[in-house]
Amino acid sequence: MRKFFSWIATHPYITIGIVLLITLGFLAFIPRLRTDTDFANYIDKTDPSVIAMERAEARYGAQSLLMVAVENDAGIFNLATLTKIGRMAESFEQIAGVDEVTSPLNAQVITGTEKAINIGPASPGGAVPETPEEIAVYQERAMASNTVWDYLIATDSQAATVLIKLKIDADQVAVAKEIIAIVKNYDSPPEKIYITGMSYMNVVLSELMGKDLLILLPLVILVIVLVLYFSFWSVRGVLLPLLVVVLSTLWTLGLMAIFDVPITIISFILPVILMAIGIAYCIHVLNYYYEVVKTGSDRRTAVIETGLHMTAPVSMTGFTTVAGFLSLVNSFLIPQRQFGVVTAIGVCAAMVLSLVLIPALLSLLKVPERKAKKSDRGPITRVLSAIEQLVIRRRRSVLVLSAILFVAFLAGLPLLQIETSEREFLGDSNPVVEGMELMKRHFSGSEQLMIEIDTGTTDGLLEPAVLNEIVALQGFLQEKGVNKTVSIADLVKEMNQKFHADDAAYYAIPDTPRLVSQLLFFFSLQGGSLGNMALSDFSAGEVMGLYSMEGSAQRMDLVHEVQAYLDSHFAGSVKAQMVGPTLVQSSLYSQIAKSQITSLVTSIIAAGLIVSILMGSLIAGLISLIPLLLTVVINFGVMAYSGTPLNMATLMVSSIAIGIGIDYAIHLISRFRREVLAGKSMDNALQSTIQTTGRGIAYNAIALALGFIILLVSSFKGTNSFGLLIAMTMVISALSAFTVIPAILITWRPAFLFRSPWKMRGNDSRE
Amino acid sequence: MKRVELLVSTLLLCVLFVGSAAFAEELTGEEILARAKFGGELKSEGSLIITFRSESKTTDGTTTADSFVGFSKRTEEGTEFLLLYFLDVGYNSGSILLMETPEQETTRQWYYSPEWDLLRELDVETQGQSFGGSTFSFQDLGGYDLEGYYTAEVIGNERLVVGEAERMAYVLPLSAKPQEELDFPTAKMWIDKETFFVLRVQKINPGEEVEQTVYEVLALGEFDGAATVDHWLEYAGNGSPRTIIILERRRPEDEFLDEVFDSENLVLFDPAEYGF
Repeated sequence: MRKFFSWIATHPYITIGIVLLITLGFLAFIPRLRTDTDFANYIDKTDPSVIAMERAEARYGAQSLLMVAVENDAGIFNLATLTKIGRMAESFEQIAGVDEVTSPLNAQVITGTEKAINIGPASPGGAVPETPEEIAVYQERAMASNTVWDYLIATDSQAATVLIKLKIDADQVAVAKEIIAIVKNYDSPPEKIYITGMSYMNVVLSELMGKDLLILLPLVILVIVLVLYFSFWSVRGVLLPLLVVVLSTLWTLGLMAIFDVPITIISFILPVILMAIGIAYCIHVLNYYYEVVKTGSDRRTAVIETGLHMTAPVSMTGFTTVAGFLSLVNSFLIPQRQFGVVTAIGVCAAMVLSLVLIPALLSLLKVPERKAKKSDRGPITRVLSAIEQLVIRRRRSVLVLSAILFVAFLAGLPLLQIETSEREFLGDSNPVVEGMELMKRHFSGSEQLMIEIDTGTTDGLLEPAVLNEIVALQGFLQEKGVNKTVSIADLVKEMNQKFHADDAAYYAIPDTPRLVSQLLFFFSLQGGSLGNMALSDFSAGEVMGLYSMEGSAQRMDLVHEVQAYLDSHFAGSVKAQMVGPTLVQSSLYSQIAKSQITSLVTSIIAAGLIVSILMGSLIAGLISLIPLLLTVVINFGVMAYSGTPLNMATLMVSSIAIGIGIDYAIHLISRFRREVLAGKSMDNALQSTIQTTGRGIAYNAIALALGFIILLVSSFKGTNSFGLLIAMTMVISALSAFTVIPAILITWRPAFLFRSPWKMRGNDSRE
Repeated sequence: MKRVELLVSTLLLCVLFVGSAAFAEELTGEEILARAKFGGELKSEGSLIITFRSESKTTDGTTTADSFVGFSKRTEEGTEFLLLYFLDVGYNSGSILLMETPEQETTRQWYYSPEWDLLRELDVETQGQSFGGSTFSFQDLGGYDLEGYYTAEVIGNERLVVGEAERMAYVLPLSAKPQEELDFPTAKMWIDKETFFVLRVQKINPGEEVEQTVYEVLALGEFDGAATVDHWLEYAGNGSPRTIIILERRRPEDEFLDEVFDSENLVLFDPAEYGF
């Protein structure tokens, strides 16, 4: 190792050149980076819900619709509003990736008389009715149609929606962007226009992620600059660490591009996180360099000594952080797994660069005239002194108080909620959520529940018994809050009525499959489209339901109840299964808790093992975990009591907190043991530890907390909560490391304190 | 059901693809396309009976057979009638579709459901809509023109074996015109040099590879001294059945009376009178 750092000190230009070359290599790939905001891609393709959705898409086409809703408080039955709707629908139809556009004007409406039957657009020719008389006729026709009223036009007449079905192979984002552009042209008072649907959400998320990064990156750099300046009071103290974190971020992004790992709604904060974490290693390295320089060493010696002595602690703390992030590979969500791996790689890059680039650059710079640290007498020192005295004088009280806190927050765990809805992650002011709210306000909702009925035989759906089962299923769904349902049974009943001169007595399923078949054949002859309602051979079809959702738990309840109904009513040859977005979301919900527990247990075991191995003591490993467990429980407790649910972002807080927080325990226990082995009393050992290592931990925790708190300015509610909680856990894990660990060590005096650890070069860090 | 609609649409298209079989040479792709015609000619002066049988094999191996009978007539006034009787078409057997197209006027259509014993006229408003779920609209049935949808160029000639005969055919790659959204945006078509019958169509994917043969004439026939296509294969792709269609045509012993094509009389129509 000495040879390595000697070589760096001798060849700083070559070292810097190699680093720059590698950086240029990664930079070349960065333009290839792509974003993926499609929630459907966040779950493994082998998940049964995804398999069911893809199979349904292959059979019936897109399972998720884009909806463009037009709201006019004065009502939509006027020329201006209807013209907007009509023109927008026409424009949507021109988009290459659009499969089908259903508007209140072109939706197929069935009318019947004694002599003739008509299946045609709600408005003649699908055109906008122009005169007041035409509008009145259109309104009457629309209100009488099951396929328009309370489906495409709200029953309060204040909103109408255009349904857009995309082609399966269409570029969903490109199509959604075209739709947004068209909508912008028409979005003017008195109408308000909203868009909902997965493709639209993907576009909005991509845009917001970009905007967020434009704000977050400068902010985190500003915080880093301030923290570094107040730590080192020098320009080099600011620029060298900043260079390291920027380069490690670029390396990571380049690597993501090379392996085609997309930027997701989870990983877009990666630069912020890497910078916040990476800066800690630089602080440790620079801090040690300054300590060596203070002893009068020359530049070359100081560089080599710094490299030698910082390799172990930086690696040790780095690898525990890496372990924390890698524990996310157990996650159910693909973006979390990707985030865990790429952040772990980024942390490794920051570690390597802090141990290679900083020594190389220091080899080229003059030995600084070190100014006295103003912070030596600052508030942090005073707080640390107070903590130190508290532990020395009232260590049992500290332990009891910690236990009380542990139990108090543990008691709140049953209140902890899981929420996987887009609303929870995006926040109420997000345009996607506003659109969903409109659908809830005026229609049955924007959540789509799809159920496939598969008879397994050609023409099976024409059997009256099957159709009546579907009718009963729709009745059940409506009881459970799925307010609007559409199926082939509805069509058969409506055709029956219209075929019999609109006699309401015939709004029923006919008695024989032959009767049903001839109704539907007539419907098809008239150009009627069956859409998802039935396959061409009538062996299977879909029942679609619309509902609004208050939360994931409600959706999960609905899924459970529907599944129970399907199990009991479709247990024979006719099979029924849920497919589509609702099933995917419920799968996400059911896996999220399991995923959380797995990640948490993995990170705890990994952290405990690493500490045990590095310190040569299982007891040391267990003690280091105590403040972390306290931190995790307080984190969950705060979430539970404050009503902050576990979502895609907050799910990762505990694992990351363990990965980063374990560093504090390692630093503190290592230093404390060294002081004890040096012959100091327990109290003196604690005093030295808190005033040296403790200050480093405090700066580190503050830097990280400030770095993460920046995420509060993100556009996403989930990211806000994530930033706040991580910042909180940083402070808590530092505080509990300062208090709980010393209190335990002093009280129980474990044996490992009095024997040397594994013989490791450079483990006597003076951080 | 969809199978039935496809067959019906095919049959109706057969009626309407009447092209010139005039000899031509050095024609451009567009000109060849303008003369191209699918299937057999069903229309002729006077009365005609066409039986139309299809055998479909679905992707799961199920085989089904359907049969229709078409009764057509062109009156002296130029009105064209087609009465399509669903002879053996599953649950829709016995149904009747009647089309009446006075010269230069819009086609009127009626549907008779024997099971319901109800006759209803199809509203003309539907004429612009998709027919039976296909990309053809009712308007197309009145004159589907390939050259309106596609651009084409001749890339050569090829000798094809059609049944027991060898035919020389133009080979034309087709591309959908920019504004057209078609099931087959790119295709390759073989058109008989003598008769201009389309002999084969292959769907070409975006990678310019053959995805599927969607239409292929299996045998040529002859009626009233002219060549006809009476035996061909159709495949709409995407899991739809592969269908072989066989047409037979004959003249009735007597010309059909106009009353046969009176919608009010559909209820009384009995195919047994014509040997079915």
